[in-house]
This record gives sequence, structure tokens and C-alpha cells, in this order.
Amino acid sequence: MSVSASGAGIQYALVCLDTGAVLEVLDDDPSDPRTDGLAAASSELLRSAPSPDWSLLFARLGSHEMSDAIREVILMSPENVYIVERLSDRPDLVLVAVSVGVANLGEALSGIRTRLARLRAA
Amino acid sequence: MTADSRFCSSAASDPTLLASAVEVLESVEGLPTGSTGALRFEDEGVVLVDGARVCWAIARNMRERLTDILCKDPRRPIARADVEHVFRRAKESGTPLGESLVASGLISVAGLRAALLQHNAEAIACLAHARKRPTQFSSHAGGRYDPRFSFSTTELLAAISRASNPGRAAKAGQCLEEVGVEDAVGVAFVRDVDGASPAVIAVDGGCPLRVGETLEMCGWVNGLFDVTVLFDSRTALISACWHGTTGVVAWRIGDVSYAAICSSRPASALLLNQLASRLHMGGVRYSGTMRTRS
Repeated sequence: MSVSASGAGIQYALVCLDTGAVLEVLDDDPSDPRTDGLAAASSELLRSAPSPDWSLLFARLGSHEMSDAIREVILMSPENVYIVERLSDRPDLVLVAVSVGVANLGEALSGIRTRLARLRAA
Repeated sequence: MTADSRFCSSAASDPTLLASAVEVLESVEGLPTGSTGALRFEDEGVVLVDGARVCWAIARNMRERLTDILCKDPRRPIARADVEHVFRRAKESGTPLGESLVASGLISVAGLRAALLQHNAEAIACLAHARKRPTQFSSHAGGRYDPRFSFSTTELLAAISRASNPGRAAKAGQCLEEVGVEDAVGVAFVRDVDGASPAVIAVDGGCPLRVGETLEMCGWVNGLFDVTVLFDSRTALISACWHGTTGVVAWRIGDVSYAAICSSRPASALLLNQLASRLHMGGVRYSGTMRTRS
């Protein structure tokens, strides 16, 4: 688990969208129960179909969204930050981040971007 | 406005009547793009439409009409004789009624807009109660209506639903105003009386969304919050980003949920940061009972 100077930790894990199982915790720690819960919920959180028709809905605001797939979901409670990020080159996988203890949103976003870049480079 | 709105109250507390009101509003949305004219519901009433917005609605059995609403406004009641005098003058001169009322100094633009919204919502709820389908549309080729005094279908739906809890709806409207950002449109909603479907109670002014898609989006947000019980039932803020520049930011305070559709990345980021700060200060917090979808 990555532990910041403030003492808050963030766990990053690769998750299979089809089964909702944690495939790998990136920092070799045991999987946190909330990481398992987020993994199980990932496919539901990224599900945008069948309704509403998002492209039509966005078009009413003057935006032309070409994709009907959600790329990233960020969730926050008073104590925690959660991120689910789709891997563009692996549609069956997502990268998740789960803060353990109060974590900064920017720190979690920065951490997930770094790990996404590492995964792409690997 | 706290005047009695009999049909709105019954529609807000009866999912079947609310569904019927949605059908009335969808019949307005279903008119060809840019239509201006009168949509008749047999002999029960008529809705004047301008470009999918409602300018005026009237139904036969309405108990509460614009004059009553203006005269009963507790914040600034207007004498019935004064209103009727302005109505007569407007009719004689051919001046639009709204323009005449504002010009007379009896009411502000915002005050008249609020009264018209309540009147039109009551008329739509009354048509929903009568369960009449639209039978005829007469196109008005000549003029268009004053856009200051026309309403989107979603605004009207919120005005009907809010009758079940005006205090909660007023707070929700205030919250939407406080967090308003450019390139974003927000709606506030609660679970309906059955606890299953969303009931929209406030929207940003001029909300361009259609009622069906707004309800679908609110249902989708409810589903997102429901699934958070798997890892953190205190989740109060969600941001979903698509591959392009668009996104939806959703949050909940007490038992009221909010969703803002953002048409640009800066709008999503700004809203998320603003709400995240509030969350850590205790301003955005979920304290309701978690429901699971059947």
C-alpha cells in the first residue's frame, strides 16, 4: 500500500470487469475488503446503457460526445476516495484506487495516472 | 408561493397521476421541432407551446388560476381589483399580459415567472388528473411568446412534484443555485412515495432536458448510489466521465440527490472540487437509509 506523508494510504488494484475479482494488488499488499467491494461493483459503476441515451442528452447541452462508454468514475465519502478507471487497451480490465483513511482526491488521481502509465508501458 | 395547489399535491403523492403528468409533458415534447401553437386536450384544456416550451396552460377544472395565485402570494399579495384592471387594459391594448403586469409595477419579472410556473403546473396536473390525450394542435404562424415567461417541460415536472414537500424543494433549488457552474445543468430529486422511482423536485432554470431522459438519468444515479453499499455506504459524491469532454457529477445531502450534466471537462472538474471541499466540511453528506434495487 502506498502511504503518503499525511499517513493516508491508497491501494491500487487491477480488477476483472467480467467477474468483479481483484486480479492483482499493485503494491503487493493484501487486498482491503473495500477494494474487494469496489471491484465487485466496478462493472455496475461503469454501466451507462441501456438508458438514458447519453449522446442525445449531452447534445441538448451543445456537446457532441462520441462515446457511450464511461471512462472513469470517482466516488467520495467523508473519509475515503475511490476511483474506477477503464484501461483503454484492455476493455476487460479496470484499475481501481481505494484510499484507506482520509486521502486527498488529487493524490489519488495522480497515483492512478502514474500507475496507468506504468501499465501501458509494461 | 404557498397557495393551495390541489392537483399538483395529488399528482405529487400519486405515482399513477405523476406518470400521467409525464405523458402530458411528453406530448408537448413530441411536437415537431420549433412548433408554436395550441395543443388541445379534447374539451378539457389547452397548452400553448413555443419550441417545446410551455407558455400557458389552462384546464377546465382548475381551482387555482393565475389571479388567485397573484392575490394569495404571502410575500407580496396583490389586490384582485388591481390585477383585473391590468388584465382589462392589456386586453384593450393588445399588450401581452405578462408585460402589462410587470410594467404596472404590481409584480417583478421573477415574481410573475414563479406565479406563472405554479399556474401552468397546476393546469398540467389537472389535465393529468382528467387523463385526456391531446386531440389537436393548431399552429400559430404569427408571433412567438415572451421567452422570459415560458417553461421547459422538466421545470414543470419539478413544479408538480415539489408540491409534496415544498420546503425540501426550496432548499434543493437553493443548493443548485449555490453550486451552479457554467456548462452544467443540475436537477434535484428524491425517491417517490413508493421509494422506487425518482421524483424531480428542482431543476436549474431553463433546463433543456426532456422529462423522460431526466427521470432515466436520476434512476441511473440512484443505481450508482445503491451499489456503493458494497464498499462504502456513506458515499455522497460521484463523478462519472465519458471518453470525450462530458460528465455527470452527482451528490446527495440528506435524502435529496442531485445530478449535474457537464458539457465540458472544466465544468466537471470545478463542480467536483467544489463539492469535495463541501464534503470534507460536512456540507455534502448522506444520512438516509440505504435501499437496494429489486
